[in-house]
Formats: sequence, structure tokens, C-alpha cells
Amino acid sequence: MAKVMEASGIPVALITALTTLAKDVGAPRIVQGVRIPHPCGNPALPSDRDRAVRRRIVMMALKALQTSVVNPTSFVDPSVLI
Amino acid sequence: MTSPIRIVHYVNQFFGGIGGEERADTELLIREHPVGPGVGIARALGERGRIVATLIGGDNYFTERMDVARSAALEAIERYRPDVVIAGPAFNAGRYGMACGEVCKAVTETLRIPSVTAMSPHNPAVSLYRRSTYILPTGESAASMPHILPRLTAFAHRLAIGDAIGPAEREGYMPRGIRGIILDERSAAQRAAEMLKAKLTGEPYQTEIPVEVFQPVSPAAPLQDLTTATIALVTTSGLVPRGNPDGFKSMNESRWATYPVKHLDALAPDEWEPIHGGYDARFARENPNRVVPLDVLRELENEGVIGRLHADLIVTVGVGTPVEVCQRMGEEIVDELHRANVSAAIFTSN
Amino acid sequence: MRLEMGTFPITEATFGPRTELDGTRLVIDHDELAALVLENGFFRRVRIEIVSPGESARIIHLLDAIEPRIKVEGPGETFPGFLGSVETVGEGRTHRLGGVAVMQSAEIPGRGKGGLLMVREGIVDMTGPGAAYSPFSQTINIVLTLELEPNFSDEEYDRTIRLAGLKAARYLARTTVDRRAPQYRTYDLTISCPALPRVVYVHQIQSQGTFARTFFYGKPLDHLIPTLVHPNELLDGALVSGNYAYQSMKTPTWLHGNNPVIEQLYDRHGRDWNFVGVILSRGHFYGISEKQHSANHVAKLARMWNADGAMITWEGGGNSIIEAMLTIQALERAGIKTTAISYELGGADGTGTPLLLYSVPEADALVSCGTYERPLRLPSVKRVVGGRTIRCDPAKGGHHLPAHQSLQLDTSLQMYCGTNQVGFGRRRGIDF
Repeated sequence: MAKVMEASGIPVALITALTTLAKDVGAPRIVQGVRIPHPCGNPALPSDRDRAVRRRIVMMALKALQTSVVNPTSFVDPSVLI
Repeated sequence: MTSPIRIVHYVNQFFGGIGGEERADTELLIREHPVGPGVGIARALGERGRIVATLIGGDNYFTERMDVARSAALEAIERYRPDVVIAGPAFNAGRYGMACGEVCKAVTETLRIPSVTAMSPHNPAVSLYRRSTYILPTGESAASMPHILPRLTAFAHRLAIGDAIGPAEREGYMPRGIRGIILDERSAAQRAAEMLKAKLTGEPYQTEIPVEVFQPVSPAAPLQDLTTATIALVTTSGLVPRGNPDGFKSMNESRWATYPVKHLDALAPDEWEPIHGGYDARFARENPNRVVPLDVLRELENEGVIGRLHADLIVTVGVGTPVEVCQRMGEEIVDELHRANVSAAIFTSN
Repeated sequence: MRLEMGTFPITEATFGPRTELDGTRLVIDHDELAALVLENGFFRRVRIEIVSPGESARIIHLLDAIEPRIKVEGPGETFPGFLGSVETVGEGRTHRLGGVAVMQSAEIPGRGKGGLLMVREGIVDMTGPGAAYSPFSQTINIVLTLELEPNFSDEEYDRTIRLAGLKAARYLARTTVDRRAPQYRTYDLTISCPALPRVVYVHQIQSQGTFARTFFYGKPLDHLIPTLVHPNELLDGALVSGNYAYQSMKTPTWLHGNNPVIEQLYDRHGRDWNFVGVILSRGHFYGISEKQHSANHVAKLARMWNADGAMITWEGGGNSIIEAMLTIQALERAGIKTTAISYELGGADGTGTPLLLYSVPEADALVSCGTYERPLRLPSVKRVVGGRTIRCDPAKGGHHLPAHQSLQLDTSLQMYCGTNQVGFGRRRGIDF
């Protein structure tokens, strides 16, 4: 679905933990999520730090939306990874 | 002994004996007897049936005036009431292959008459028509005519009498993009052991599941100005309002929905529930923003980092959804986003 | 490690005054078995029923299936960690009742939780089009239908139901203890022909939480890093299933002990290859680096074992194919030739793409074990065991269909072991 949206001219930042899968499928702008059940958060952290992680991921997604890409490209903020 | 079958055969101007490239504009001609390769088909058929009509069409006539040609062919074929339609063989002739494919497709889909054609696996018509009819493989040139005619005839006869056609590799036609499920004589473990043994000893083997290659897309141009952009939040996480008002299934769902979030600063745990059946839902239940980051996007909107967060959250369930359904949903969502002047989307997936 | 497995083939089971073996007939003292099942006080009632191949019968609300096995000589006990100590098993002599499965059937309350970790419907049809979906249309099934006391936790239901099944299986296997089996087979990995290629079995299981779990010597494998296991340990019940999330894809305890891949590897040991052992791994890691990590470990262990070839199977759905595929890739890149068994997708009519959620170019030797995505029409049956209605959509509270009538199912997800990937079945996908 993300691919269909890109093809129609709407840039899409796909946040997923499974970046390998997204790349394989050909999604152009792939943002590294944390883990499958919580791609935009880290439940092991206190809620304000969890939210800070979320903000970093969303900022990375916004960066992906402003970046020109040709092939499937991963956008990763290493500080959010567990 | 079944009664003799009736065949209509389609050939182009060359195999129809009309002429070469200079006669490619020939409009549909009808002969009430076998012509060209049809003579070989009739011989192979013997008493079991006959070619009641041969349709001859010019390669250019068919490919340049396809709607007209198709209607003319259908009308003619319907008059002759065949049990099966044979087209070609077209070998590696591209326009001829297209015409054969188009005739067979039209006859099978519109008149519900079974059809079969034959051409080289490299004929460009194969990818367009293999799902719509049966295509038997031939060599590149008419040198393989003696090889294909008996096979084409036998296959056509089976179609005409309603014989069940088995898997592509056993029956010798090109796979039509349909996976059937059969009962093999051997268990999967047995077949795997035999396949491993073949691999280890350097013998030939063939995978049972072909591996897919996905088509890339041309990415959209990037956003120029974030501060004036409207960003939509889309998710396949199956996060829906508590109570699942639209009755989403936890997998194999082919619908999507929008839920207003304009009034929300964050997703509250008691107001949303995840119904996706493929991930451990605990973490999303405790804090839904971990799958749909509304809280942060609202914050960024308030700070002026982004222009606007789209008023609705777009939701579906990303488990077991075939590509064609994803395609259709994607197109519908795009219409929605274009209507609402959305500039970009953040898409979350589990 | 050398294990002698004695098989007592069973052709008939009946209730009688005493539990015993009468030739190939298993006689069961109903009340004694019921008392054994009820002794922990967690169940209000149990119905014990015998369901045989060829009957017009449907078993529903299925949880696990367990083969009666008991160790008669040598260290440890069968189903170690549950019914006995964690002493390493796989040696000595074990007896089994061939052609029998003990099953638990119960309606565990759904509690509207949603997500992955919940019990979903599992059905076995003994005849008709559904019979090919499971090996249990060919076994004599001793079904324990449990009526649960309310207000226990998921973990308590899970644990007590499992123990009841394992104890019942051992109880029945006890009928073989002081007897000589009609047939013995020796399971031994000793290499007699060193020139043959060395082959490992990569057994990727599912273990993610309550109701979607696998146990090794009684311990959950939720965080398993790949490890080496002797196949004889599996023959002695070291792997026990607590997986009821998606019943078509899970491996019940019975199949862990009767793994067709292990059978093939042992059958050809010393002939086509040398079977060197099992690498046990897990799928469904939540992050991509963990998935890759697991795959890398498997390849490293295989290399340390000087493997030339590997058979791979995986359990469960969705993203756990990624571990399997990354494992295949890592093995092939290490020069180890792989074959794997997988189910495929294809949508409701076989035209859906892709066939696999994820794949790697190195996965060039895949065997298909069918799909769950096609609709299935089951005929009406004379007898239903385990309840009266089948439960659909438990996440949404569940709606119920009468189980004895003919059933039009959108997918065959509920057919017990229908797409199980250890390869017992003959269903396969093929291009049309």
C-alpha cells in the first residue's frame, strides 16, 4: 500500500521493525522501528523516555519524507534500537 | 465414444495462405475447412472431430484495431458453436501471439468456450495472456510445428470433452498464475529428503515454491516544506477504536477505515484496541501511541514543525492481505488523501 | 546415545474394567483415567471419548495431541521436566503405543484480549475432505474434553491442561511396561560410512508467550538462542507443545516425537548421508537484528559440525518466515546446501501474490506443504467430540457455528496441523 501511495506522488515514510522485509518488497522510504509489537516505542523505558524514542523515530520519518530517494532506502536512528 | 468435437481454428494471414507482411491488414476471413496448420490438426484429430471453421486475421488488423477484430471474431465463432477454439501456433511472432491470446481470452471469458494456443515462451504475448487461456510452449520458429501440432490437438480435444486439466508441469502448458492444492503421492518430508539428496549429489531438482521478485516503484518527490505540509497517519497495525465498531477481522481483512483524531492530543489506552492477530498486543494496549505515534505528531504540529496532521487516522489490518487487495486499498486511500490535500504520509507497520 | 524404541501398534481402543493391552487392543478403565485427570482440582468434569479413523466424526476445541510413550530402561523419563526430572533423555529403551493420540479439548475463555496470544479453534475431521489436513484422522484419539472451573488465570489453565494430557499419555503407555514390543528400532547416530555428506536438521519452533509456546525439558523457549539437540531427546518427549495460537501451523507434542523430517534423516543415515544432529532455534523475534543474529548462530553451529547439508522447518506464521529465510541464506553462504518445507499463501483462489511473505534468492529448494488461505467446505458429521459449536473470531468475542453441520470455512486456519511444516502431509501447492 505504501508503494501505491508513493507511485501516486505522495511520499510515504514506512516505520517498521522489519526493514529487511520492507526493502525486499521495494518500499522506497523505510524508517527503522523498534520492535514488531511496538515499532514506535520502547515499553522497557519510563514513559517520558519512551516518548522521546517515539519523537526520534517520527523525526527520522519526517527526514525521510524530505529526502530524495531512488532505490529502497533505510533511515535508521541507532539510539532507538534495543 | 464421445461425439465428434467441433473446433474453430484461428490463424494469421501468413499461415492462412493469404500472404506475408504485405497482407498484414487482412480483415477477418472465414473458411469452412482446415487451413495451413489446421490440416495437421485435422489429421491428428481423425474421427474424433473436425475443424468446422478457420478464421484468418491479419496481424496488423488484429493488433491495431483490436476491439473491432475481437468483436468480429467473437461473432463468427459464436455462429459456429465450437466445443473448443485453437489459435496459432504463433511461435515467436509477437503480433500473431497477441492476436491468438486475444481471441482465446475473448472466447473463454465472453462465450465460455475453452481455448488453447501455442507459442514460444519468449513471445511477449505470454505474460499478457497466460492467465486467460492455456498456452503450450513451442520452439522459436515453425520448425517445431511437427512437434506441437499433435500436442495442441490432444490438449484441445481434452478441453472439448471436459476432461479435468492437471498441474502445468504435468500437462505441459505454461503456468497460468494460479496455485492449486493437490495431494502428492509422497509426504512433504519425503519430497524434502529427496530434494536434499539431489542437491547434495549434484543431481537436478526443482523448487516447488518459486521465489517472488517484487517490482520497484518510482518514489514520489520529497516534501519541500515541512512547515506547510499536511501529514496523514496510516497504519496496518489494526488499531481501532475500542469495541471495533467496524468489525475488522484480525487477519485477511480487505477493508480500511478512517477514524477522526483531530480532537486528540494522544491515543488513550482505554479508547483504542489492537485487533491484529499477528503480534503480541500487550504493548499496544498499554500505550497505543507505540504503534500509531499520534502524541508526537500532535506535539510537532503544535510546535509548527509540520503544517498539519490530517484529521483522520487511516487503519487496516496487515495480516494475510494479498498484493491485489493491498493495491486496491492503496488506490482508494490515495483518492482519499488527494481529496484532503494531504502532502505526505507516515505509515506504521508491525 | 543409543535409543531402542519399542512400538506396540494399536488397532482398537475400548473402555473396560482395567487399563491394559490385549494384543493390539487398548482397554481403558474410564473411571481410573478420569480420576487421574481430575486429581489436581482444576477441572469440573472430564469426558473421555475414543474417536477412531473412518468415523464420521469431528473433534473440536483441540489443544495438544500427545503420543503415549514411557521409558522402560535407561536414564530419565519421557516428557522430562514435566513428568520427571530434567535428566538428559534419548538413551536406553522407550516404549510407545503406535497409532494413538491423547488429546485435550477445552474452551478456554477468550477474555477479549486480541492480538497473537490466545487460543483459537482447532478441528480434526476423521473422514471427508478435511481428513487430509491432519495426521490424526489416521490415529485412534483418546479425547479428554475438559470442563474448566472459572476464574483461573491463562497460565493456570495452560499448565494444568498440559499436565493432565501428559499424565494421561504416560498412564496409557504404562500398559507396555513389563512386556516385549513386537518391533524395536534402534536410533543411533554412529557413523559407519564417513565419506557420506553430513546433514543437520534445523528445527525452528514457535515460543512467544502463554498459549503460543514450546517447552524443552519443561522450560519455555521464549528466548531461545540456537542450540544443539540430539534427535533422540525429541523421541523421548523433550519437546512439548503449548501452542494454540494458530492451530493449522503449530506442531503438537505428538509430532515433535514423530517428526517426519527426523524419520527421513534417520532412515537414510548411513545410506544417503550422515545425520549429525538437530539445531533447535526459534522464530518470531521482534527485531530484525535478533532475527539475523539467530540465523547467524544456526549457520555457525552447522559449520562447527562440518555440515554439508541442512533440512529446515519452521513453525508458525507471519514474520517467523524471516528467520527461516535468513537461516537458509546464512547456511547457503557458508556452503551448506539447504532444503526447507514451507506453506504458501496465494489468497482465496490461488492467484494471490506473493506466495511467501519473505524470501531470499538462496531459497531455491523449497517443498510446499499447502496453504491455509483457500476456503474449505466440510460436510456434516454424525458425531462431534469436544463441544457443540465451533468458535470463530474469538478476538471479537466469538460467534459460534453448530459443529455437526456442514461448515463453509473462508480459510482452513482452524484445521489442526493443516499447514504444519514438519512435513507429515501430502497436500502441496503447484502451478496450474
